[in-house]
Amino acid sequence: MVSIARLLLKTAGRKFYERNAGFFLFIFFLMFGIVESTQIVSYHLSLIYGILNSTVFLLIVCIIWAMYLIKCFVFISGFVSSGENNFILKLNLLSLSKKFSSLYFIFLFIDLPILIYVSVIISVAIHQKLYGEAAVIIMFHFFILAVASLLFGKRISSLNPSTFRWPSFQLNRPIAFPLYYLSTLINNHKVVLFTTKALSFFAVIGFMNIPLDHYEYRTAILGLLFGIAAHAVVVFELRTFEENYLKFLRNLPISLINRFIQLAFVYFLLMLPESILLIVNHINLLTVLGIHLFATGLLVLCHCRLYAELNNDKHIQFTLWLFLISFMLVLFKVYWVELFFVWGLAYYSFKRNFYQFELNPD
Amino acid sequence: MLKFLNVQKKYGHHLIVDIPTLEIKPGLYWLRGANGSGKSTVLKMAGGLIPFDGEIQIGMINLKKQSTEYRRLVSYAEPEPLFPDYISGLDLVHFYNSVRKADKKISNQLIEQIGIGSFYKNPIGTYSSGMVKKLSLVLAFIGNSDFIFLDEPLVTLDLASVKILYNLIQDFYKEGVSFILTSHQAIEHNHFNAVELLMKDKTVWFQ
Repeated sequence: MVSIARLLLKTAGRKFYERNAGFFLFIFFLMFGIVESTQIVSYHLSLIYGILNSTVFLLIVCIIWAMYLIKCFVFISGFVSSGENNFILKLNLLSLSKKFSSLYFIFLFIDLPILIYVSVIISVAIHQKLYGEAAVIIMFHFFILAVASLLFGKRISSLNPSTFRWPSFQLNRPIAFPLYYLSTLINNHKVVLFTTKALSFFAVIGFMNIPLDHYEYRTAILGLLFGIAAHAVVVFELRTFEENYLKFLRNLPISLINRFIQLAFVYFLLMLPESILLIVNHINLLTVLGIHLFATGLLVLCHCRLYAELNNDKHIQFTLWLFLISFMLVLFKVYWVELFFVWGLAYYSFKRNFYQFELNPD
Repeated sequence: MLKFLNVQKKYGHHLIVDIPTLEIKPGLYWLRGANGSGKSTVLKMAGGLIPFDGEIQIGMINLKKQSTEYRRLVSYAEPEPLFPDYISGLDLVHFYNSVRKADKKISNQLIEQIGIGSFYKNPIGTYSSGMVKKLSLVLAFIGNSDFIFLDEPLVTLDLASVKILYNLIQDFYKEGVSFILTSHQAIEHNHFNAVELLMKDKTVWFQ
């Protein structure tokens, strides 16, 4: 019966990593791509010290780890629900302890990317003699993996396991057109949205807490730039959603400028939480408005570039370059020049490519 | 009149459609052709959904030069439509009514005639493929289009709905709306009296 667990690893496990290759690439980029190679070690050590020395930070990281495991759980549930994968029900023939250990092993395998980083955190904790923190992290992972295995075991105990679904959030009807985009994020990409917003908030709060002699709004923008880079996956998801589910829009009599304004409105709404965060942190409204338009413009530009080519690797590269250029311009206090340039370039790209784009039918 | 002038469609270096000139007068047309002959591509080009080389126009309104005005004159329904799961048919009907500046009474009549009234307020994710198809047909009829392009309109429709659709097409045709349909299933000619067009050798021929 252990062969069933192995079979599941080769099918569901491999499928999970194939399906989420883009997601992992993005996380890898965030963890290792946005920092200069010479500073990677010190960057990660700072991050790990932050996790180990702040209870709130540790709590938030634990929530993110748990969210990742929920994502795994949802995937495996969906995998088992499809008819051809019902072989997993054979696990029910095992004793409870063997069934539990088989499922534990499967979740352990899927949780591996997180566990590798966790092992580094634990090593640092032990080195720093923070044994309590190390124990909490180890126990937390044992716990969430055990809970996932038990819940999944209970699920497949039923002969006809139903697909696990996240609770859906229905907005008040009727939904206005620009909200179609946000609706799909809220309903179909919860983990990506939550992770992105969490990273974005960390970056903004982190930069704003840099001790300075005098008030400096640029720290907020610099933090926000990290947040915008974190939105790369969201932008790609929205553009893909548009291509898969909103193709009918091309047949409708909507002028290009109106289409562009509606798209801009989507990102205007998407970046509102970050701007509210800035307002709460006592940055004046006019400055926040400028920063908000800047952030929205950068995301709209990233989206519009995808009308030329819907390619995730190039999209990530473009976002990275845009981030670097913007970072420099903000440092030299000329981000407002970029603000006009970004919006102009976004509309130019949109106008040039919107009707010309077509996914290759092959 | 719908005009094609030097229209070509390529995927990579592979020429899929090549129509030097074609004039389609107002009427009711059935575009036939083998699988992969390019029927859907022609309708998608004329519906403004995919890019192409050449010119397509209705009267003096050119698809590329007057893109919004042209799209006001044409409607297109996909063979296997996909809409976002979490919005409802009602959301889309509202949206189409507003964008196509349609008469809401006529939209409501369409909802009743095609029979989506009982479910169109629910999220589209709960619909069967037949229900999604009916919704897409309602949307195609909303507005004041001169030409309505229906790509495989009979797919996933039950017999009762097919008859309703035939009647609807005839009613709209009497009001001056032209149709081009593609279908693998034989359209009832006596009932329908559609002019046949043949998609062959990458171009469209009158039969």
